Parts: sequence; structure tokens; C-alpha cells
Amino acid sequence: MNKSLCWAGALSATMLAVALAMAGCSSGGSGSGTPSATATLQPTAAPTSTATITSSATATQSPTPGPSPTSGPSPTPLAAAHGSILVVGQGGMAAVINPGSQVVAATGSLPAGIQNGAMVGLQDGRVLYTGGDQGGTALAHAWIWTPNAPSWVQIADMTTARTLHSATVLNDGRVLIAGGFSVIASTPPTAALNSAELFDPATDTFSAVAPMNTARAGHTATLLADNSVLVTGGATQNSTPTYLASGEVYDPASNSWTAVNNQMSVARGGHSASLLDNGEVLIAGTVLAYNGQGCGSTCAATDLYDPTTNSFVATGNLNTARYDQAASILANGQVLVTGGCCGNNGTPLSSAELYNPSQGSWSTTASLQVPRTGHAAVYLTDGRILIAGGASSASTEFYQQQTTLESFLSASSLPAIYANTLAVRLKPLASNQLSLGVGSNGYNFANGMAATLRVCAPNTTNCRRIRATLVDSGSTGVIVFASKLGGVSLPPVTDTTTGNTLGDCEQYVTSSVWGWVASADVYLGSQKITLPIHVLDDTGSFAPPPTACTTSGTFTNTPASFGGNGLVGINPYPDDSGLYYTCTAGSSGTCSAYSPSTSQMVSNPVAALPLDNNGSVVQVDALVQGNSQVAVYGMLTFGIGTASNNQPPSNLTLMQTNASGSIGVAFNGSSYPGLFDTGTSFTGFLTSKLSSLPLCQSGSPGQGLYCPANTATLSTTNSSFKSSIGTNSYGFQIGNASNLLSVPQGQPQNFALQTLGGPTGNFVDFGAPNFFGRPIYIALDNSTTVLGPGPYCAY
Amino acid sequence: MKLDPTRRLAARLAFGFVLAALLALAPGVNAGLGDRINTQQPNAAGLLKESQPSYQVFESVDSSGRVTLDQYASSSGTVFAVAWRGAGMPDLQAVFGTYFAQFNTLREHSPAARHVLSIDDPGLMVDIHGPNSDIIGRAWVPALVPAGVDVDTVVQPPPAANR
Repeated sequence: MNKSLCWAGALSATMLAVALAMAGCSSGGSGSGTPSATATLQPTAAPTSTATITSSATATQSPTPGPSPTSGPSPTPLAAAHGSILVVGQGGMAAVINPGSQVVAATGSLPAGIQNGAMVGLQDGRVLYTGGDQGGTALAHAWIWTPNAPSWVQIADMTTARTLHSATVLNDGRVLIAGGFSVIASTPPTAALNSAELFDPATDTFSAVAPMNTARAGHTATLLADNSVLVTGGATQNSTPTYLASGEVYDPASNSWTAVNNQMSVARGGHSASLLDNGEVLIAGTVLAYNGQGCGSTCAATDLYDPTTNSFVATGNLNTARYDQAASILANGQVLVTGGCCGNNGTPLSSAELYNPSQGSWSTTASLQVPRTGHAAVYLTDGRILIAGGASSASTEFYQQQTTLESFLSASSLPAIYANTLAVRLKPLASNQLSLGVGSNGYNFANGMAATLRVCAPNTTNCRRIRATLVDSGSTGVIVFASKLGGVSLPPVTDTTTGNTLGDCEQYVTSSVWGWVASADVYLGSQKITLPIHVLDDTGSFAPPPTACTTSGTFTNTPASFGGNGLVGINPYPDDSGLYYTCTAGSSGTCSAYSPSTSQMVSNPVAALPLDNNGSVVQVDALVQGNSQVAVYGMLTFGIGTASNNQPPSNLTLMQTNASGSIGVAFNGSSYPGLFDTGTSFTGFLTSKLSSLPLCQSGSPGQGLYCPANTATLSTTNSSFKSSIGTNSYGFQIGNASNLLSVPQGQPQNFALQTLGGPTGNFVDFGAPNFFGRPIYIALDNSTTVLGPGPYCAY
Repeated sequence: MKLDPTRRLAARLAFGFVLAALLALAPGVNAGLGDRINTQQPNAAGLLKESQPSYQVFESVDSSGRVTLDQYASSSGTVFAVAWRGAGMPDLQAVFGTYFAQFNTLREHSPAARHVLSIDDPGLMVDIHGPNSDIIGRAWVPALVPAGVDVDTVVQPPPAANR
């Protein structure tokens, strides 16, 4: 009898009952979600597009043959909320999870009984669900779900009926559909499909492309940096399946498939594949692990695919052999693998492990609150991972890393058990918006405001998504760590006389970073800009930093010390004010001072937009849990008064700023410069003497910040930088930083903190908390807007 | 006056040029906090900006042409305070001189923030703040401040080098 019960159970209705009886992997048992107060969830697009293997095991076969799109009972505006995630379970049920409010709402369902389809978030913000099977018949149908009209609308069919196939969004926006089964009944046995097709989001139609070399179903499909797609493993036919150890790569440019030069360590089905920062792909798990049959000591083997050699290389073994697990990459580049099948008696696993790419090994991390298999894992914009559903659970939880704690925390429950869960982050529909997450940013930072940016080599589809990219209104320009650009080669900006690469040192008040200048295509929303960006040298491939760069503050040239994988600076100023050098090549290169031309400098990304280029609007939700919650979400919208989503309300107060965005702030009869600053974690308010706020005790969690016994309610008079224009009374609160930052041993930490405050001298820094619940408009220097010329700041 | 980016750059280059000339004349600008500068030859220490009975202020522009630095020297020539403003940071090792190690220790115990730093220590007072294109800083050593000087009021940021 077949060994791959949880997974292969989907292949045949007759096999299914046996599979359930024997394996008990997903019996639709108790959904034991434990809703808790500390739940928030929001994703950025995970660059790993794994074909989630769906093991349909629940017996909810309600064959409603007609694929008529059905709207949910209550289409909800929640679908458009910041940071929402669409979750679809076996049988077609769908729900939207709002991570900020922790509200979960059912949304339009797919045709009842549908399962094993493939779902992806399109670049334009819509969601595509293709194929699957219903009542024992594979489907060629496809549906589109749109956040602002949350129901599934059927579009043109695929060229072929498919279930247990893969769908992968390419960097050009098209979707590669590959393989699967066209026939469910396993008598007589039917081979998997080798055919493939492309979905074009411009026409919402499918067209056949070159077939795979090998027919496969239940394989993984992963977008590589160069816009090709790696598929691995999978089953060859639908009865007593044999699994493949082979892989192949689709190149959209040549419409051809190339076999990987060698085989994986083990044949795989029910596995996961994750694109690493360095451009390699980590492949783990195999259905053959069930009861250790079929793979023996190789069940726990994992492989890396190296695109530079087109070959697999074995890497560390899993601590626990598993399949139907959910994998997600973390902000720091490690890969989290959770749950899967099976423990003793065929029960789902609760264990989880982390793969460390620099060590090539796996380590055990905290365990899931609820054992899960066939669940989903999604990267959230604040750096956490959402875990949703699975065979027998209606619950969700999220994974959070702190300095001394890795934990899974229960979150809101789904409306029902969503077996074989699929989940995607909902991207903004508008072309001029980026989703924001404010939280730890995956790097243990308080109030870290971040987005995910897509960075490509100019005029190519060679791209990486840079998660945990900080948003900073106190600086200008796009910054990316070199280690996060694996597989993408950006042309350096050079010294026109010598041809040497330009070095750039960016100096903040307390820290500095070093790297080179390169030309890149960067997507702000779906709008492309081409401009010089700052690539930070954390790979040791460039000249060492000049002394002036390392003595002006803490040298923060690693993502962990920087607090993010990159930065997008939206300050009004036109360039990054960096210290420029011309540097000879290599890691022992030498640098000398250089005066760059304007076109060589790391420049303002907002100004470079084709439209919506006069400023930006930072909009973050208000906290819903008092002064402290795990994370909060929002939207960065480009342009002021240039589109329907950035029209300023009539009651806006406008303060003219200097070219660097500073306003005037009066307090107790004295005036100071001030800045609305997304890049600082706290409200920086004068000195302890001027503010009458006590500093926290030395050695306490809030050392260096303010620690009033009771939260202080304060008010300043804000106005233009050098005039009384826009004079207004501005209220804010500063609480006890040590209380806000202290975490009981072993307890999870909140990272969105409304009342964090500290001293700044003769300056008022309205840091990230001041954006919570208050949209702020920042107009660029020398810009023209509906509210008049920039630079200004308005709220 | 508003400068378009090109003119800003020109201004920056011009400042760099002026400064190179200044530096050639003025080895004294390398004096850090606590060091002595030659107050008898004003142009040797930067341009004499202000002269008071108990202190003098010398102003210079850093080698990148981006940052204006004021050094406050007592009548004996000891630099007891500094203040600066510009697009970027001055060479803090040079600015803090013998107090650089102490500054670094205190900074490491301060909250990590990209755009603000406030050190309130009996031995060294520092505040630095602002967006990267307009950073304002000042620091003084309380023990070196001449008697009768209200240092908190007196030490104010110079005009930005580049605006």
C-alpha cells in the first residue's frame, strides 16, 4: 500500500479512505486555536514561490460541478485593510486576516469542494487561483479575487485541466503554470502532466509554453533571481506514485526547459523549496519519510540548488524528517520550516527548525502551538511569520524572534478548519503604494518601519525582493545590503576618469554605513525608477571603508546592526549627502575622495518616479491595544494630490520645511528645529531639563530614554521652519520606556510602542510613533503640489 | 536662496576649494576638544568668528566641504566646546580629540537611533541630531568651560556650510 498517505491521499478518492484510516494525518479533528491578545499578522511577498502541496484528506466532498463563482456572505472592507492576508482552505473557503486588528473575516468562497489548486498574488494586487479538483474531476478553470471587490470571478480556462500543479509569478508579472494531474481516478493509473502554460495578467488568459522534460505533480516551483523557474521532484503518476529526485529550470526568455545536471539526495514529494538570499534554493522534506520507508537515512536529507552550476549539492540534514511542512524565509535569511507529517501514529508534527545558510545546518527552534500539516507560512512585513490552518486546525499563530526568545504565539482563529491551506499577502492594488509594517523588522528593533522593495538590474527581469527595507524620512536614497542581492548583478557607477567604482559613506547621527554606488531599477509599488543606489558591502568584496567612515559613529555594515536589509529614504532632500570616493577594485582596493556629479549620486527615489513624484504620504494604523502591541501596519503612498489615493483632505495643516524636512517647534517659550522622522524609534523630545521628564535608570531596559512615573501628555506649537505659517498645537504622549521595553523572561515582546520617548538636545524628533493613526504628507524640495510648492510637511 | 541640485553641487565644490585653501593655512583646526589652539594667530585656527573676554570662536569647514565647525577656545587656547552643522558629519575623532574614546563609550550606552543622540554626562555633554542632509551637533567638556560662561546658551550651531 502506498506510503505517502497524507499527501497522496488526494490522488484518489478510493485511496483516500484507506489513507485516513491508516495515517490519520488530517482527519479534520479539533480546531484548537487559542485566540490571544498578542496576534498580528502581515506579510510581504515571499520570494519563494513554493508550490504548496495540498494533501486533501478531509472527506468534505460536496460535488457541486458548476464552477459558478460564489460570493461570500459578507464581502468586507477588511480585505482592503493594511497588511491583510488572503487564506484559502480545502473546499474553497476563503478568509481575510487583518493582522493589525486581528480580525478574521470570511470572504467570497471558491466553488464548494474545490481543492488542490494553486494560488498566487499577482504583481497588480489581484489574486489568481487556478485549477484544482472538485468532485473527483480536475479543473481547467481559473478565478481572480480582487481586494476591493472580494469575490472570485471566473476568467478564461487554462489550456489544460490540472490539479496539484504549480503556479509561479515571474518578475515580468506573468505566471508560469506547470505539471499536475489531469485525471484523479487512479484506475487505470494516469501519468502526471508535463505541459506548462503562462498566464498573462494583461489579458487574463493562458497560453501553452514548452513542456517540461519530465511529467510531474506535487512538485515545487521557485522563481530564481534571473527570472527562470526551478521545479523539483514530484510524483510521476497518480497511483502508487513514484517520486522524482530530478529538477529542471524554465527560462521564459528562450521558452525552454533545462534539466538540472544531477539529482537531489532523495526523491521528493510534499517537499518545500525556498529561495535564499545568495540566490541558491533550499529543498527539504520528502513524502517518502512516512514511517521512514522508501528513503531510510536519506529521509532527512536537504539539498541546495546552485544556479551558477545548475546542480544540486547536499546540505545539512533536518533534525526531523518531514513532508507537507510549511517553509518561509526570515528577514535575516534563515529558513523556518514548521510542522508537517508525521509523528508517531501518523499525527502532524509541531516541531520546527531553522536552516542557517552560513553554517549549512539545521537547528531546532520553538515548537508550534498546534501540530500542523498542509498549513501555510507567510512572511509578514514586520518580520514575523504567519502560520495558518493545516489539516485539523482552524487556528493561526505567528513566529517571532527576539534576542532571547524564539516563539510561536497563538492568534485569531479562522472561520473553520482550512486544511491544505494556501495564503498570500494582499499587495496594494494602486501602482503608487507600498505596504508598511512597523515592528521588530525581524531584527529585534522597536518601531522599525519597513517595506519590501523589488530591486532589478537595469532593463532586465533579474530581480530580488528585499524584505525588511527600512523607511526613513530623515535621509534620502535607496540602500541595499550586497548579501541580499544574490543572483542579481547591478552595474557599478564609475568615476568617469579612471573607470573605478564610486564608494559612498552614509553618515547618520550615531552610525555610518559603507559600500559602492550602483545603477538599479527599483519598484516603488509597481512603478519603476532607474537610479543610482547605495549597495552596502557586507560581503567583503569592495575596498575597506576609509577611516572617516568608521569614526563618525557605530559602523553598522551588517543587516543585524543596521536593523534591516536595506533602506528607502524619502526625505525631501535631492541626494544622500554621502561622502563619496573613487576606489580601486577588490577587497584590498584603496579609495580617495571624489566629487560626484549629480547623476552619479545616490538620489531621491520619490523624485525619480515617472508619476507621483512630488512627495509621499506615510499612513500607519492607530494601535488598537493601548500604547503597545506586537506590530502595526500601514501604507506608503507616493505623490501628493496626484492620484485618487493621495488627495489631501481640506483640513490639513501645512508647515513649510527646509530642504531637509525640518519644521519649527516651540515649547515653553523657546524654539527648536524638529522633524517628522519615520526612521527613529521614539519621540525625541529636548532634554530632561527642558522637558522635565526623568531619564530611565542606568542599566534599566530604557536606559538613555525617558521614564516618567506616569505617562506624560505634552504639547508643542509646530509651525513652518522659518515662519509662523501652519502654526498648530501638536499633542503627544511619552511614557515609561523601561516599562514599555521590559519583557518578562520567556515572554513575547511588543515592538510597536506608542509612547516611547527620549532626549535629543535642542531638537524635537517626532519619530515613528507619531505616524500611528496620523497620515503625514512629506513634499519634496522644489516640488509642485496641489497644496503649493514643497518642501513641506502636512498632517 | 534656493539652489537647484546642480548649483548645490557647485556650491559644495566651491566650499571644498575654499576649505582646502583654509586648511593649508590652518593646521590649528585639527585641535580637538581639550586640545590647545593658537589663539594669537587667528587665521591659523580657522577664521576668528567671535571674540569675547573669556573665549573665542573659530570657524572652519571640514575637508569634504559639507560641514561648518565652530571651536570654542578659552583665553588659554583650550577648546572647551564645539558646534557644527552640515550635510553629513565632521571627523568626530578630530573633533573630540582626547575625548573621543569617552564619547564612544557614552554613545554606546545611548539609545540606538539614526537621527538623534543626546549624552548628558557630567564629564561630557553632547547632542547631535537632524536628517542626514542637515545634521546639527554640539559638545562641551563642563570641566573646561571658563567661569561665567553660560555654555548651553553660548554654544549654538553655525550656519550650514552648504545652504
